[in-house]
Amino acid sequence: MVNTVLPSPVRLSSLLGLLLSMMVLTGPATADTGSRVPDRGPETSEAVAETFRQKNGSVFVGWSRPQALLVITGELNGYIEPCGCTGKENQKGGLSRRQNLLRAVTAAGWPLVSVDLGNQVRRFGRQAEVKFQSVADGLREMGYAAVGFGPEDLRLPAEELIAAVAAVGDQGTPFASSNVGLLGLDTGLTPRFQIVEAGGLKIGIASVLGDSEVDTIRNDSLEMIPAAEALGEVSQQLSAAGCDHQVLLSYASPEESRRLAAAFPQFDVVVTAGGADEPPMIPPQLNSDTGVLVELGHKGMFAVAIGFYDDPLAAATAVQPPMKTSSGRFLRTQRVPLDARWGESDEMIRLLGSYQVQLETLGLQGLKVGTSRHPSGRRFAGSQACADCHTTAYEIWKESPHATALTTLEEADPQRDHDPECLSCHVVGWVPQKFEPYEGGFLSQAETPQLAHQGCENCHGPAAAHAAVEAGDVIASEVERDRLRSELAMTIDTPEGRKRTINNCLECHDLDNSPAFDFDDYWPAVAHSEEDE
Amino acid sequence: MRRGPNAWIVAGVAAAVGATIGGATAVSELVLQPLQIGEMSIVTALPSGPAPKLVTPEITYDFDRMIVGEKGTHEFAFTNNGKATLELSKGATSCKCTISGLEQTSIAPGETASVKLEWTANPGGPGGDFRQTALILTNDPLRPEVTLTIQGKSFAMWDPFPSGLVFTDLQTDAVASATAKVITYGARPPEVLSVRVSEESNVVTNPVEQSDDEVARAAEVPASPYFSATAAPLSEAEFASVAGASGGFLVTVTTVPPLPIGPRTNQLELLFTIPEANADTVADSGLIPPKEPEGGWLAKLTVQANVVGPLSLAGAQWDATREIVRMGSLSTATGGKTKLFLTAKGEHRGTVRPMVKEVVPASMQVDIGEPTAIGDGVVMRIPLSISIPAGSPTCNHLGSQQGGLGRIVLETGHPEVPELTIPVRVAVSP
Repeated sequence: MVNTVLPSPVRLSSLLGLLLSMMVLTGPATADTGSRVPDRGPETSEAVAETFRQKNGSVFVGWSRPQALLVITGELNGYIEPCGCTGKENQKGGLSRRQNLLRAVTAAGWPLVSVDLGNQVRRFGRQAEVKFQSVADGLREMGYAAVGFGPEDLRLPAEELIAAVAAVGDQGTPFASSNVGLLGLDTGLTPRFQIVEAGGLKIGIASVLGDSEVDTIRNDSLEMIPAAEALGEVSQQLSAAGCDHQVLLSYASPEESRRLAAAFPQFDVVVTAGGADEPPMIPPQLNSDTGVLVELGHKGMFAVAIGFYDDPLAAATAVQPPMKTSSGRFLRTQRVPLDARWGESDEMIRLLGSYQVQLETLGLQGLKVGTSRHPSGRRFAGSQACADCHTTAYEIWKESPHATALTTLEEADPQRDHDPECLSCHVVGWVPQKFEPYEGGFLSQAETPQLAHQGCENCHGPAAAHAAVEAGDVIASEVERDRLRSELAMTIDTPEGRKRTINNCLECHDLDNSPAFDFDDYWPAVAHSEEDE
Repeated sequence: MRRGPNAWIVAGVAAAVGATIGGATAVSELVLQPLQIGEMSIVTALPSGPAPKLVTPEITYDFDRMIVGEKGTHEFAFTNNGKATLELSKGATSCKCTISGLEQTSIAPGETASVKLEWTANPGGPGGDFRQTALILTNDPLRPEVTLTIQGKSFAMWDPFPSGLVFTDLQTDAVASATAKVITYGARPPEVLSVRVSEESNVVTNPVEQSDDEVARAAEVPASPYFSATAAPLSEAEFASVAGASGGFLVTVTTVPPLPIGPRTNQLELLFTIPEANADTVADSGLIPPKEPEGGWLAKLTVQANVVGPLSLAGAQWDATREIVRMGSLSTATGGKTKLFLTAKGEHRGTVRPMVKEVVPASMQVDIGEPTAIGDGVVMRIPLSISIPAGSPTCNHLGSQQGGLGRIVLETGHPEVPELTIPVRVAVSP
């Protein structure tokens, strides 16, 4: 037991004055206690840093320089940047902020090892392939030491995976998997583990896909073996290589990861998938009292940092004793919210711009975006078609942000007006949560300008038949005319109608993109009624 | 070399200045206090004047289990055991959690106040682990920030795993299956009324045309001719480990060849009952309500597949979009090399024994390795080592006006694709 208790309170006023004076004369301290901590991006002002400290908490308070710092990310799930109607500064995540966190660690002089659990994408198809390639490029540029695979990554075609992750010439690859081989485990396209040295420590990193996840993948170009079987081989190789610490990236449920940790206690850090949207403030210890189980949360909103220390006092915090490792060294952990205190990195902004250019070049056909039939079977007319009769409602809409929804994508930096994942809530006639158009929905400003922006029919339904009948272009009976009218009517005056309306709003104003959405707060900005018309 | 100031002079000046500052500055009144944490004690510098001291019996509340969409509240006690007033203010909260009870922002010494958190368990989404946090800022010098955590498990009335099915790189003649397990949380096990895969999405062709026959198009989407689907109830042992589950079923989707080459997106439609489930709760978890009183709830899961030809190429320098090997500009002094893999699928995969028929530029060498079966043998892989040796003559095959693309032509041995041309973008300069 370590117990450092001074016998009685000691007045130190003069001594503190001495220390303050020496600091003035000799400049900031540069001893091993660390002159600064990585608490913001390189160009972030104190005011901005303070704003986000008060919003999301401070980071690295009381930390001294660790022997090495492991920065862990993962489960990006396609969220390469935070997005949303309420402003990027209100959201967490994104590759750009992540790079600036890593830069801040390096600038503080802390030996850095960055690793990623995997699952860069969350969908299947050409856009996911392009996105995976972009993220892989970004992770290489950020200098990641090890990157695992998640199930959504491994559902992509093998040729796309290989093009994105395989070593090129003398340049190695940070991607690794102990139990999944692209075109086989023996091809050498990706190694089965990584070993990296930082701060005099040799850290071995294994990566597995959990058995329950393996069972969900139908990709014949992969060779997959049980995680425990793979770790039996790999952990021996890491031990034989003389690693001071072993880290396991386990893309599995927390329960499955715990089972692997119990079977392989040599792993001091076990990173797991699953769990809740947010990681815990302090990760739980493994194997009674050594090692930690690290959750990352979802969508890349947090990183988790783990410092390695010889001195247990340096690893202790005000609310947590130091965590032991199997080797006798100690760990200290920090949950890092990737908020706007980290600022933007030019390199990652360029990478995101290049990704958007690729989407534009491929177009909807090149991206193989599918279409589905609107449940009503009807077609869209465009908001202008409503203006002739519903004059007041149209004017209210015209003054609302909905009427310039596509413009916000066109004017964004980088532009996002060719990104199906953005378009789906900024134009008429798309399925918001499937990122694809209905038949007859918006295609482009050139082909379907009348369907630009978030228009009337996204709430009321496709109105081409109704507009044609009302304009006299199509002859219909009175019954048919009334039926077409009633199909498009909405109300918030009944519980069912209100619920249907709110659910429709939530298709786009969801927690990812519009976390502050409250129907009663938002409705007045677009409120209109039959009497207005 | 210029010498620095004498250390003793520096120390002397420092002591004098230090004594002055030390006497004049209240903040310099320090006490070193031991702080006991488990078996550890750490020494912390504190102001010695009156200070608030926050005591929180709990900072994490575990609600155990909640239904998706359900709202919960919990009050955390904040006690001031210090000698000065404790001030509290709100920091940020997670998007599903709000601080509602922080009316009292000042707590006198010896007093206790509560901070109330409200949350909604995973609204509109599937169930699962739930954790949300709220930051409280204080003027306790030892605990300027306190993060309160709400955690537990939320569950919807149904839970599919995985939430969609994907078949990657299928052959046109492939008979492949994928499964999804659906767990339900009603009073009794579910009854599956129907299961099918509908033919819903296809690639954009010319959807701009407006139909005059729109109403007729509202007819039901037909079943897919390329997939069949079955459902079988789960045994009790198969869902026993899921807390709160009352039953479930396993859905198996199987391909029906011949499959057309290209991407496919379809919907797996599951119609099933959840006995005695709360209708609002079920609707909030993404199921479509019954059309008839005795009808079941409709769930839709996406089924995606891409169907490819019998031969594929892969490699770090294989550009699958442009279908070209990118070796780039090489120097004649060093040359260059890359490695590709030719993969063969389908019933004729065992017949593929590639031989080089032609290469451009002529200096390019292609070594063909032995075929190897991957996994259970559905795919054969054949390594192709491509090199331009050092000392090769200069050439330009970048596909520009100055020179057309290079190429490798292979005789494959596959009866349907007897010859395969692989474009190569390469130039060799002095």
